[in-house]
Amino acid sequence: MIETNPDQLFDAAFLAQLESLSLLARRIVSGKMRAERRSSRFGSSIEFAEYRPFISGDDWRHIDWNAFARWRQLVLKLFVEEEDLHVHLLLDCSASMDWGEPAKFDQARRIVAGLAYITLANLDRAAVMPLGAERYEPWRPSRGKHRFLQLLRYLAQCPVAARRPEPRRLEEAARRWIASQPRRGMVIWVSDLWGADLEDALHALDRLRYARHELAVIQVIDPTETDAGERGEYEVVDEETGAPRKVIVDHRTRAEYRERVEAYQESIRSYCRRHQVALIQTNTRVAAPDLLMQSLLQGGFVK
Amino acid sequence: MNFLWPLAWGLGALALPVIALYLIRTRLQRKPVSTLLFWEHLTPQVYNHSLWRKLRRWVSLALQLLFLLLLVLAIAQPLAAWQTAKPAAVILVLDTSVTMTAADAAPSRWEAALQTVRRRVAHLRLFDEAILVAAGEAPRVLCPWTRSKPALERALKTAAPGGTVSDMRGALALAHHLAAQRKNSEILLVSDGVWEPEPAPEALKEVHFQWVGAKEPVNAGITLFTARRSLAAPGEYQVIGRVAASAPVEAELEVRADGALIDVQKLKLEPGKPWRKTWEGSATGAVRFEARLTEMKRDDLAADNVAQASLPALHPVPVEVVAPPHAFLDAALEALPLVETHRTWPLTALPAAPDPSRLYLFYGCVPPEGFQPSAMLVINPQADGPWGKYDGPLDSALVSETLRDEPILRFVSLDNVRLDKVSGYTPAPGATLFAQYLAGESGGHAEKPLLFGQWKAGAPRWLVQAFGLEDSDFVYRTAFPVLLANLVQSLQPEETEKAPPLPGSVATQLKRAPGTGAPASGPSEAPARSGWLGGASSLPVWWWALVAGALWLPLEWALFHRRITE
Repeated sequence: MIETNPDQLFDAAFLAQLESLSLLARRIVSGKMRAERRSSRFGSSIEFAEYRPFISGDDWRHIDWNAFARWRQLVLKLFVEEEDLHVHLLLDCSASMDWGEPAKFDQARRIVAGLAYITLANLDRAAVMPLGAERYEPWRPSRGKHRFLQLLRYLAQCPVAARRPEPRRLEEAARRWIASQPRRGMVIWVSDLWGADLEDALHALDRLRYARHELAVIQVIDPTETDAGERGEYEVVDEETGAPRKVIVDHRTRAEYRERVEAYQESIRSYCRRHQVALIQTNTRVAAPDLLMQSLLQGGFVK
Repeated sequence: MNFLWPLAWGLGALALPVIALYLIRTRLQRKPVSTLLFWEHLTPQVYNHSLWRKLRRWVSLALQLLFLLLLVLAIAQPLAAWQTAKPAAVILVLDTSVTMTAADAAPSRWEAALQTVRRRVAHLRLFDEAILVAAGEAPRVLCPWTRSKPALERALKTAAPGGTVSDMRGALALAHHLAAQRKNSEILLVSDGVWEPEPAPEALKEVHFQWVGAKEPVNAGITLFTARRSLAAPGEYQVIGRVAASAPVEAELEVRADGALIDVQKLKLEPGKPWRKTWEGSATGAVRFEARLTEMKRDDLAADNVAQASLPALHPVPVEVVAPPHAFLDAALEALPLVETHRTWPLTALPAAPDPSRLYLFYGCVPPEGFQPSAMLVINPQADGPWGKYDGPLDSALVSETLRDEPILRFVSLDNVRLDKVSGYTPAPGATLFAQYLAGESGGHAEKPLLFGQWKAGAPRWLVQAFGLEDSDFVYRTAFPVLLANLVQSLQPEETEKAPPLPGSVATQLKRAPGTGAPASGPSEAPARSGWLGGASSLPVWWWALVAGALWLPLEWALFHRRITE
């Protein structure tokens, strides 16, 4: 059962740890640049970028008259535009996330909340996209720590997707989000990555990568999902689709199950290594603040 | 079919929870999972079951119900029709021989026998009768005919093994007599078969045996240990010991006299070759000897490892001589050890009441009328008296007959005694004629009493010698001191403390009597007539099946639950 009370989901200790994490993040970022980041777009900052010939329609106020006096040619003086980073936090809301104790979905929401807090504390814009819960409005990119409490309530009320006959395809969810033309920035996908199959998960990652976002993935699973459980005859039922399977769990079956899970996880790891996608594979037993600290130290999750 | 406890069928209701639990088990347990990603194509799937795997569930249930049925049957104790047709009368004969204490059957033959009897008692039906007989030295009814099992149990607690080997003849005769009193009776003899003497083969007919004891008993024991004083020299003694074994055994024999170790013998015993030894010594006081067998690797019977023997003390016997001084008589008395001689003469000095501890010797006079000491020797009385009638003097006598086996005539040889003058008597009724002589012409060539009287313990003893010492020849004068010594010896107080008897050589062998008709070793089963199939160390087969079923029931359940049997 997922938690909907924000006070229960994000308790005071968790919030207190977020503040210290934000300070850590600030130190890490200041080692490279300040909070302001240069964009590839030109704008109205005070930092000179280059000259460009004046063409019709340009703002004549930007003509460099000193250069005209020297070169007898109208040129425009361009400056580097300063803009804030957009961090898109993709929260997997598929029914498979409603599993375990605590639920994977609760853990994912705590991680998203922590990442959002760090983002807002660094004067960047944070957006939350509930993948799979199409009827739940996404959290538009916003900045300022004053929005954080609203974000927590938003996350607390975020539902998981309803059961459906066919398993939800991760690739389709990613495609839909990309179709909404989000501003390019950093994408952090918090999910269990249990797709329709392995190819579905990898294709979803491909789509996010092809959209020229900087991609990072946090895979959250429940420890019980890596084992087939006690021996016996069972009718296993998919929580997402309600589809049953009658199986016998014995020694051989358990070993085969573990091999499959490990192979799946290894495929995800291999993909991310190959494409330089930051990846953290964790489970619900790991405290969310510890995981966030790991993400800050590991790299790929901070820009 | 009848049942001893039909209410046990109520336990059949246990089948309901067994079936219910089974149905619960056979239903697939619903297990929600977050994804079927890893369960797809996972083998084995339930629908891939072989026919046996599908059927084994039902076979398992059927087996469980079958075992429950057997369990209920066991508790209900079914009785076959033939068992209920006739009431049975069981004569339980329990051997209480000392050999039943042998430890070759765990924990002992006796315990094994008790368990056998208890099992038989437990299998008695409500209408069965039983009687319990202990077969010891003499048969003893421990519990009369009864249908009460508690009464038989109580009587069984009073039984104990004895100190000797049982005489089974009396017990078997009693058992057959009891069997004749009841219809459909059976005799069950629980014994180790070590009997002495062996009963007649007819006595063993119609007897069901239940043997106890190991196949190869190993035992060594003292079969003889006795002490006695020398007849010639009462101060000297001999101790005789004998040790035997039923198998090759090495042992150590310790012999103690009044607790002091006098000998230790290392023995290597072989079956059929008993070891013997005689120890000699001298002592006038009482001595208690003890022999103990030790240092044996295995010894099944402990009762024959210790033996005791007692030697009584010698006491001075006062002899009151009522006669004038007589050189030969006085010398003969002085030569005897442990004799205190007193003289009373003339006869008038004799007190009216005799001393019961003294031997009175009258010579040259007759005891006063009414004077009845506990022991007296009267030599040639010339008058009538309690000994009989005096018939006057006779001449030319030759000893014709002697009771050599009488204790007072031990080592007394009268064969060549010739007497010139003797007195004729007509002995009092009841007198024993220890020696007779053939009279001459004056006696009509008839046999006359020479030594006669009564010399038995428990009654006044008197002995009459029908001639004077001066009339005897040299041969008699050598025999007379021996006769006196025998008389004095016979007055020594008898041994009051007797050592416990030894089990004997038969018990030491621990082997069954060959006439039992049973195998020489190993327990055998008794045939059953009243529903009892039990032996000394076994339970009925159907009972073992039920026990196995009861154990198998939870085991099968656990195996099925864990899917180990899949």
